[in-house]
Amino acid sequence: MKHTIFFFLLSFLLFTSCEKSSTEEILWWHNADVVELNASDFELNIADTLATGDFIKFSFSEGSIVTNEDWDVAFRGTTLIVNGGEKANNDQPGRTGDAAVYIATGSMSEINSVDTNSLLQDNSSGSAILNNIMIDDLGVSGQGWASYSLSTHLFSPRAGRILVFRTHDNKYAKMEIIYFYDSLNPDTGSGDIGGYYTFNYVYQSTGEINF
Amino acid sequence: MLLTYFSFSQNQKEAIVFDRKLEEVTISATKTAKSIAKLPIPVMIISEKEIEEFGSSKLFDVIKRQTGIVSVTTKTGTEGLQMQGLDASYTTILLDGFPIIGRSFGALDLNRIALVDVEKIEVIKGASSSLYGSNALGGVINLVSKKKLIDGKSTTFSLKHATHNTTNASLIYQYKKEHLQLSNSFDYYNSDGYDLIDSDKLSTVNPYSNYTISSNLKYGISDKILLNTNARYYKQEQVYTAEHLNSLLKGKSNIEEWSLGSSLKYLMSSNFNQQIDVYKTNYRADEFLNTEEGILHDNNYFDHILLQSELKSYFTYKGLNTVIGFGMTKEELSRRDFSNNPKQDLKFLYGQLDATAFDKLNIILGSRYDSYTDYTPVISNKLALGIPITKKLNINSSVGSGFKTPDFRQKYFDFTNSTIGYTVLGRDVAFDRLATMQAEGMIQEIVPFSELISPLKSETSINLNLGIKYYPTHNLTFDVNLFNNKVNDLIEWQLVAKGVNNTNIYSYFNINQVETKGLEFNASYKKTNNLEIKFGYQLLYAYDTEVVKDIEKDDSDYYALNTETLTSVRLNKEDYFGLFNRSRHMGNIKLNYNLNDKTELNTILTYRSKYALSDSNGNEILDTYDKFVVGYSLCDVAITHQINSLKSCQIGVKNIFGFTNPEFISNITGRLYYMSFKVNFK
Repeated sequence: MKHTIFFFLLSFLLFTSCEKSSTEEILWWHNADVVELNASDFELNIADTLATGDFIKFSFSEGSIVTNEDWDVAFRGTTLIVNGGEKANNDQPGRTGDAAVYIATGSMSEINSVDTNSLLQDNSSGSAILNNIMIDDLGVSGQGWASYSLSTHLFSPRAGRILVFRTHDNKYAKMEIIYFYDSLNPDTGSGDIGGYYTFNYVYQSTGEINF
Repeated sequence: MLLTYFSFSQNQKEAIVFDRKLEEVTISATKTAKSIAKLPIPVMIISEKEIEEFGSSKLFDVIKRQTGIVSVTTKTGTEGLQMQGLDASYTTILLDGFPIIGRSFGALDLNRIALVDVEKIEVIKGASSSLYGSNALGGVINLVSKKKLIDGKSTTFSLKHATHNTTNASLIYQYKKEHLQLSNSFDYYNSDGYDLIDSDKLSTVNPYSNYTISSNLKYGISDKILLNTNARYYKQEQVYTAEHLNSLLKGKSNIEEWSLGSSLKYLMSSNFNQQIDVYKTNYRADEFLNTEEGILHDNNYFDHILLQSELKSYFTYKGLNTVIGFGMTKEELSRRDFSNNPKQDLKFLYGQLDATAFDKLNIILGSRYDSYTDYTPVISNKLALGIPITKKLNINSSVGSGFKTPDFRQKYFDFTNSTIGYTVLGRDVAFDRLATMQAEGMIQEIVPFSELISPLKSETSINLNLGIKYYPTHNLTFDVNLFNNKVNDLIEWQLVAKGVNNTNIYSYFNINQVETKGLEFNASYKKTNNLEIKFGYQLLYAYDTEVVKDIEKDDSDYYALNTETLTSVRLNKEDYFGLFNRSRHMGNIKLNYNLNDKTELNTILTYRSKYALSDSNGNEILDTYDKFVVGYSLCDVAITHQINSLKSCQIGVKNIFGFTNPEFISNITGRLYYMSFKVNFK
């Protein structure tokens, strides 16, 4: 009898705890937007490893790709730039806003405020992401948003790396990159070069630093 | 997919009927002949009968069916083996005590080793560096060549045909007259290979053919002096293809290997022997790729040579067996992408004591000293205790240390991949190369270069075994062994600098520490002389100790993507699965049934639980959110029929369920049929 009660209690606890976490996740899910963005139209020159092609600009307030000056972040292949600071070379779009970025370690729900001291802008010698926070480093030294596998030649976004943005007009947003390929089973051998971003983000339109 | 097989000789049949366990004698475990029932360290013997049961003609085919041995495919496609959860590069493979070389990426390809002249295979699990030096962290596999005990000559020819247009022909000629024993063998193997993925231009395994010639001469020069000479030659040719910018590159990949070993044994008195060994071996691999227009696109070579000489002295007195040996090894490697042709010299000295104390207790105590030209000397030890509780119950315990020196690649590699844009530098060349690059101003330091001045340390390990052998009746056996291995200073590559255009430059460091622990269980039951059932199981936990420490912290940096909610979650200890390519469970059930005097049925079912080959969610560890290779079972069936005393035939099916997993498992080909015929000319 005792065992039966214990079992009931246990299953009740298990049931309620599962229930709770999934509700949390569903709520959270509705809070964030998932975006799929194609920034795969680039070419990599093997000789000097320089990429060419168009940057795909994204605006958090619009929640979509934009072609005007009011963008916050732009993507091309593995490169991310922000609309703030200076451009590193001439094939990049000019910076017209005040955007900045840093990478925080945590889950989307854990990163609930912006550390404004960590924000950095792009500069003439490279994007903020490249020289300082090393988003472009692809995480080999453990700092970036993705890692690169020498055996499979695939880039994988690293879980728990949240990109925290100040937008071009001084609002805030947080973003987590989920996928880099348009297939769940990418194969670089058959020409999957990536650049297909799937990310979710939360935009704070009031300009508060808390999400 | 392989096979050769021989009729059971009268001697063997008697041995089997008599008492299998007590008859199994191992040489490699202690370097002296010793019954495995009495040996206090985990040892497994694969008999000639077992080799023949499923018509195996190459070592890999036999070894992958054994409990606690997992066949793994390395990144380069080489098939290696894992023992006690340790990597394929940690097993030493010997042929009559002489090492087989040719490990271009750590693992040795066991499909290279033909079994036509092999009488039995001895497998020692656990660190054995105290006898065999570097590399023997996980264990040792020794192949013992055939002996002929009765005067006369015998020729055996066998022919096998299998799926994938595989043909295997082998011939062995044995001769014995008084003090002279000669055994010559030839093995030819040809296969069309196979393709598991139709959508691409490449085949999974390209057509290949190989042959092995081996010769063994034993000659008693006098009553006291014995000469033993082994010679072996192996050659393989295989079609080599690759895809490059949507065009197909074609070429060839060749392997050529030879070895020559000679030992002279002097039986000074009934309790004192001496043996001198000289051995030389060479492994050379060449490959090239041409474009569709026939222009050379890429070529590569690997040429390794080893020379070893050793003097051993055996001393026996009452319950005490002693062996003392010393010797030297010279090695040289030339290979593309190496800064020079590295050489390495080794001098070694070892001793082992095998004693019986208080009439019962068996103690083995061994120690070995290895002195390499470039390293601080290494001392490896082993202590084993065998405690017979009753006649039927034995408790065994052993502790041993193992080591592996950094290989030539980790020291001298100088490789740049211009397609991806990265460079890998061996530790011994890294500092100078980086200093030059830095002086030219094209480099950004990530790890202080001063850390690269000191040479790499050897990887070291401690191995513990605790086993119980329980043989309640003459036809029932139980063996349990608990094991634990801690490997320190694992060598891995790490980013050291950023070169021009942000390219990554890597070098090698002693970083990781891993632990494997688990249990191996084997049981056998012989119901009648006609029916025998065997069961084997291994439970394994293998993990990186640093990851375990980190993940237990509240602020751990390990996250994973939950693919259902598309959000990251922080991982806890339970989410960490462990090292890559390790299955928690593996097991096998084997049935041997004699339908009548002449016909025998063998079947084996092997199981391997889920595992993963690499991280799929970017956190560099294997966690429960990763994509796993699902567990699988394979079943082989074979029927052997003795036509008369000189002729026999066998038919069989491998992988009868036809299991394949093209995405992750390239060495399982689906259902394979084979038939073979064997004839003996007296």
